[in-house]
Amino acid sequence: MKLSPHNLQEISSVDFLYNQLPSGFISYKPDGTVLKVNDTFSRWLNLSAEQVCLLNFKSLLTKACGLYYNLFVDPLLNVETKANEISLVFKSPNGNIDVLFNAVGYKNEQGHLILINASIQKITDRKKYESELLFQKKLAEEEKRKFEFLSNTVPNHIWTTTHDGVLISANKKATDYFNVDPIDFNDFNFVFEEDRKKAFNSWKKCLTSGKPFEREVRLLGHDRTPEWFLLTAEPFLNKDGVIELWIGSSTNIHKHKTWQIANYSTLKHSLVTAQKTIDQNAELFISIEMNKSHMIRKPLANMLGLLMLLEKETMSKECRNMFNLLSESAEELDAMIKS
Amino acid sequence: MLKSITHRNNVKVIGNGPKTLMFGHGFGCDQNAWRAIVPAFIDDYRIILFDYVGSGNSDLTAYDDLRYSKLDGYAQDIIDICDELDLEDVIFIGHSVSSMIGLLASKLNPLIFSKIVFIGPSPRYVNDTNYPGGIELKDLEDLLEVMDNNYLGWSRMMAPAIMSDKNNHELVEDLERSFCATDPEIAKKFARVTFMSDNREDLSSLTIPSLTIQGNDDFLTSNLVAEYIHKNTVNNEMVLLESSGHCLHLSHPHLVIRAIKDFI
Repeated sequence: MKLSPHNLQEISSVDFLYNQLPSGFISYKPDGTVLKVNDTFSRWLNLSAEQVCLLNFKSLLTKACGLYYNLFVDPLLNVETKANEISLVFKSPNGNIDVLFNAVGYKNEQGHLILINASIQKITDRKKYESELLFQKKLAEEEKRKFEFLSNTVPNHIWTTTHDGVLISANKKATDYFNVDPIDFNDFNFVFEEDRKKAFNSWKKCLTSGKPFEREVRLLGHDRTPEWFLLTAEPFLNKDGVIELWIGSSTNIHKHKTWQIANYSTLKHSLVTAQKTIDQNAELFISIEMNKSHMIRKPLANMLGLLMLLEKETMSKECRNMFNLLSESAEELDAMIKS
Repeated sequence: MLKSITHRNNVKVIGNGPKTLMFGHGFGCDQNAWRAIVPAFIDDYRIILFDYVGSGNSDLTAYDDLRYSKLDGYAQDIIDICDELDLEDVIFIGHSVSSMIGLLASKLNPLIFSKIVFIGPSPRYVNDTNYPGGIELKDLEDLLEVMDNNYLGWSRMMAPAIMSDKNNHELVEDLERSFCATDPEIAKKFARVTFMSDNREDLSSLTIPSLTIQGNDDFLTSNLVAEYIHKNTVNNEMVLLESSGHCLHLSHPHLVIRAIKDFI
């Protein structure tokens, strides 16, 4: 169409806009009596505007959407006098038309709804995307249900937190164990007091560093009796490599841990006993050594004394040599004992 | 600490009188839907209003998927309320799905009701052989899909209405704000339970006097359904009204009040 000043005036006229804009417009009474409809909407319905005015607005909808309109949109218009972005489907000989329905209601002085003006946007293509999104949403919900089911079948506590450690979910085993839902995860109050501070600090370090968390701690169940658990958590990275959440578990190791502690205690006791025995034996050895030294020293002193006396006697050369050897050996022995 | 049933079901007890009327709201609504009816009875009757769990200002945390997967779960709400308030021989008035919920409550505990009024009832919404329920199964599946499609938009629009009424403890204040303000997620489940229900066989178990009030231009039920109930329920009276819509107690309260008063 070539535009001239005359054309411009025509295509921007209210009447032209009302009838030709790519939106449907319809005015009707609350009982559905159609008062006015634009050409675009009539064309979508494959009817003339005059034909649409002879029909009830609600009869233009599919049966399901007619029910939905009566159940939800009608009350909404009565209460709010407006309805925004309602997804509806109109019947047409060329196939159903998916639309977004926006409407404004007008009330009289008595507060009764008397007129509804609605605009209708065709969303056939967008509807396909929405259906896909809805399908994906259902799929995600189903996966979530499966995960919850799975996490409830394992004997461990399973829990997830946000990247910064805020609890998102905990399986039934965990909530049953603590008898609270949700579990207060903020300051590890569920951990036995003696283990709490170290465990909490370690968890905070892991949240910062992104390293896996693992620690043996005593948890306080609903009866507040501490039981040993192995707490572990692994960071779950999203496709960009950023920590999206932490998936954690708590495994009851109470039996194993108490057995280990009991064994350690026995071993420690044995080691102490062994050390005592060693110490006692060492003392004994020293005593024996001292006794032995005393027993050897006495005859050696005799020998040294006799050698001193013998030295003054006249001896043959050969005998002198033997005396000297004997004297050296006695002095060496004496030096050895004294050292 | 266990919360009371009164808190759970947002029970309101008003009015004075030797007899008690209990009003059960329909699908998608709450106790405020009775605002045009209650004033006509408030001087002569003690009136019990409540919201089913999942509707209106009920305690949503009490909603249990398994319990409310059948209308019996909702019937148990009524029985719980009667137990807590020590009620017997109550006249129960139910709109839409509440009609069959009331019937089931009476079946589970025959002492609680002396009379029942059904407004726009249906023992089965889906058509069956020789039974004109009014809706084809395919239409019902499509309706649930439409509800799904509108879930986000509808919940966003309804949220202000729900929130605005949280602190409203007066029945007569700002009633319209909370009309049909139901949690959308639960509404979807309630819709499925409601429209998939089949209570035709339960009709014969009702022996106390009952009244069926039906409008002749109802998008959910019909005179044929009302006649089916009338024919298959002992001691049932039927009043057919010249009216349009499914919520006769809102659109034609004077006709409904007259029919109830004549019956009780």
